[in-house]
Amino acid sequence: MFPDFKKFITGCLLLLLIGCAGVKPITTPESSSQALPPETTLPPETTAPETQQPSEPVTPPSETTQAPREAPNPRAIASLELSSQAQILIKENKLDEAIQTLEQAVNLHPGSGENYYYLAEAWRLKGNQAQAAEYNNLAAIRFKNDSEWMRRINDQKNRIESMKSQP
Amino acid sequence: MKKKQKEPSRPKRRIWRKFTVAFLLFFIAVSATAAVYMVLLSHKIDQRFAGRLWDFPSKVYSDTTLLYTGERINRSLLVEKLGRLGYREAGHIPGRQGEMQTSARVINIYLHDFQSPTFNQQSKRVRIDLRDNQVEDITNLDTGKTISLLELEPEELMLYYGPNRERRRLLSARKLPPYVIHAVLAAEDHAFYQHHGFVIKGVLRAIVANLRAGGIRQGGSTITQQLAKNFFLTPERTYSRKLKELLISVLLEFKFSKTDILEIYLNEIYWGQRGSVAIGGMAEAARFYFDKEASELTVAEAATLAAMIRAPNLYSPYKNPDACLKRRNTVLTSMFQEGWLTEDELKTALATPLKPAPYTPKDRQAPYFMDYLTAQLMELYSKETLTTEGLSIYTTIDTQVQAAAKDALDRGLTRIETLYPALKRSDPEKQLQGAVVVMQPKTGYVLAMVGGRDYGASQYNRATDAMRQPGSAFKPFVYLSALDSLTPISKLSNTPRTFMIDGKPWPVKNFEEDAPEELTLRDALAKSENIATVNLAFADSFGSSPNIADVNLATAPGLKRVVDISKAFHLYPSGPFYPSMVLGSREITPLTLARAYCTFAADGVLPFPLSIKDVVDKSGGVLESRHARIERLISPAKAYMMSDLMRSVVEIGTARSLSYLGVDWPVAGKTGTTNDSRDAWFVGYTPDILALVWVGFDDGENIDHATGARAALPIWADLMKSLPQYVSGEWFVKPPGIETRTICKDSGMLANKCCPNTTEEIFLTGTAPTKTCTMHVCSSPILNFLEGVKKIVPGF
Repeated sequence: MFPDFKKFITGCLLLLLIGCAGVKPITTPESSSQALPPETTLPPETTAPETQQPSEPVTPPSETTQAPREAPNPRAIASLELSSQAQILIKENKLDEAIQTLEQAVNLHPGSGENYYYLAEAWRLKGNQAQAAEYNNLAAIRFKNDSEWMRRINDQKNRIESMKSQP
Repeated sequence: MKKKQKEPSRPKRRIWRKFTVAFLLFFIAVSATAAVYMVLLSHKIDQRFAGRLWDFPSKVYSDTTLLYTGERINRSLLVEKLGRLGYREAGHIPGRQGEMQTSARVINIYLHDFQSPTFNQQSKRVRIDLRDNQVEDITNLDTGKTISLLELEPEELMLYYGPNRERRRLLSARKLPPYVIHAVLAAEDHAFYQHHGFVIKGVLRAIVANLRAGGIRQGGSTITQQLAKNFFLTPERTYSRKLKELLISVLLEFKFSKTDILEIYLNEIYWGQRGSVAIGGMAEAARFYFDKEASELTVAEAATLAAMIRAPNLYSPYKNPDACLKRRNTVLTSMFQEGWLTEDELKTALATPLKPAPYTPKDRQAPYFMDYLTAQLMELYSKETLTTEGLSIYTTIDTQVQAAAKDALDRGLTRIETLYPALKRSDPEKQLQGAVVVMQPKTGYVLAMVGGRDYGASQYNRATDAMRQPGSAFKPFVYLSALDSLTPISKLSNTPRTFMIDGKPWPVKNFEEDAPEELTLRDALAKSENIATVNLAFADSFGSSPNIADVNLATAPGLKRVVDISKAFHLYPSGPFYPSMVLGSREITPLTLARAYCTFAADGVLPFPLSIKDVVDKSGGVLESRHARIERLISPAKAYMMSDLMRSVVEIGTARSLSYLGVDWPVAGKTGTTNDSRDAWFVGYTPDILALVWVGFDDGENIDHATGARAALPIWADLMKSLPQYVSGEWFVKPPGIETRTICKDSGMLANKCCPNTTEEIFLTGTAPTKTCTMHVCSSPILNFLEGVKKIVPGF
């Protein structure tokens, strides 16, 4: 019994050594989540849910599920304030003003995905599919690790794609 | 006989009758002529007042400025900006609009009112607390509440003056305090509300004085007469003109109310000079001399302005304060004598010192940008519209960036001349020149533009008009063209060789003579190797053929790829295209190049360079509203890859001196020096901002050793260090389509744990090597065993 057990252990060690000889190379996982801080869940959007549904919704249907906001830093907070102002302007159908406010927000904090999302929304409501699609794409880059935002962005993408192309 | 003597003779009666008839006819003719003349005058008045009374120059504004808690700022640039916005150092807590108080830690400002269709600022007092050049807190002093985001009003940059070079704003006489009107009446026409256009006594006195002087010397004009003279008559002094003035005055009084006449008068009259520009109307005068609305003037200030009407430059509080003070006091005394001031009010006003707002003539700001802007505006509006209709043009310019760019260029060029005295020229028109373009890459906003060293010496806008060879600054577009087939670790030959174009040799040299004979694509771009770049551009043409003389580069596929990229990036919309363009031999303007680089910094979308945001008419209607327009050219992954490659230029390549110059945050960039050393370039960017610097001589003279890294790069560094508000230190978000692998630097294959030289490298998805390094084999089975156990047993 004992010699058999010894053989068994030796066999296992040999197998392990053979296995270790073929160790796979080190491959580093995608470092995006390490290079950049994950977009943490932040306070919900400051804008109140719409009581009157406009003919074309400004935000995706999931009004009850508040989308998370980006990590706070001074620039991000200031940018989000502008973004909130722009959302009100969009609801008031002041689209040119909203776009300019969002452009200010982008200039202030180019890394904010929320600004691109609402720029896409404003351009969609203005009927410019090409610009809306580009901004939707830019928003997606920034929210690629955020499932809630990505759902909204994909919904928006579908709405943009269903638009009739306008000159 | 006696009876005959009493009766006038028949001939005499006839003469008398004829005389009477003639007189009557003459009287009727004169009356009819006068009536017709009055009707004509009346029509003329109607016509004049029905149309536009004044010309209003259009104004150009900068963009607004955002301040927020936690923002890093350049304090001196901010304080300078506040000064240009018209905020004056009060030396105490600001008590009225336009005042500020600055100290090392605190800036208190009493904000102006500012209204535009897209920006409304209500006057309020704010306190900005600073710490270590950072905004610590912003407080509304009126409410005590914290302001998280404060937007300062746009800055007036330029006016499009007509031939009369006059600036004017309008006011409503009905909104003025009575003492403002009384001051004007006391100075010019205290019987204004009693007369009907002219005062007989005054006219007679003037006639007597003029007869004695042998010509028109004295006017004796009422306000109505002055108005008639200003609007309808030439300045000549004749009796006929004076008569006409009286007739028009009477008609004006007949047609308009006293308040209307006074309002037109207050808006019309000349109130002195602001440099070369005339000040028209009381509203503009109140703003210029006292930096406030006319309705906010004090009694003493109103009397000062009223005192100036007679001779604005003679009684200017700046040029001749003693004469101004004396006449102001005369006006105040006259107001008291008319019963418009109490004795106490008079005493207080007389005791008030003459204290006009400080005036420092401003240099013309961003003059090259203004020329660039004007060219665009002229496509939309006529010159007459711009000079008369009072449009407000809101632009993208950030005046802090503009000031920093100009200063950095000035300092940089002076430094180069000191370093290389041979480059110094005594003739201002021939001196070493430079250009700076600063853009926000995501939106295409042109934040600053400096088109030359001294606009006074040369108005040639090098930023937009100078066609210069980009040299190595063009290389990123060549490397981009190869990304479908090559990766950052692809090895490129850098061995000196002679390339052939149409059978003729094309000698390509590297800048450094001891350049390596082979290097990776990343290193080749970082070190800006010319031979490697040509090999990269035309790699598929050479193939495995050792004899490159067989290849005609002019028809090589590599050139077509570069040409396609050039066209897509709007670098060169049309030909001619030739192989040497891959080394930047084809000329381009700095603005075009800066715009193309924006694509790398903007996830692959090319923005339109935006300079006009809004054009608003005088009544506040928006005529034009422009937005950022973006066009996708390359995938976000390729854009990220290019930025990452150009980060190596800064970290290990030709631009590594940036770190010695204090730029310690992640930057992507590329230097450029043309082969014949005529141009030095540096284009650098972060996710927040992109700036291009060009240095060279207009006539293409050699700039010797002043390369892109030595001449242009330090200017870029100086500029960026002045703009902490645009330095976040963040890097680009890695988009989908990019993967990272650990690579063995020796074999270029995936590293195993035994490879001694490894590096993290990024690849476009699907292009990373798939095979593991075979050059380095792990030799220790025990080590392998332990590694294996580690994988099986966590925590081992």
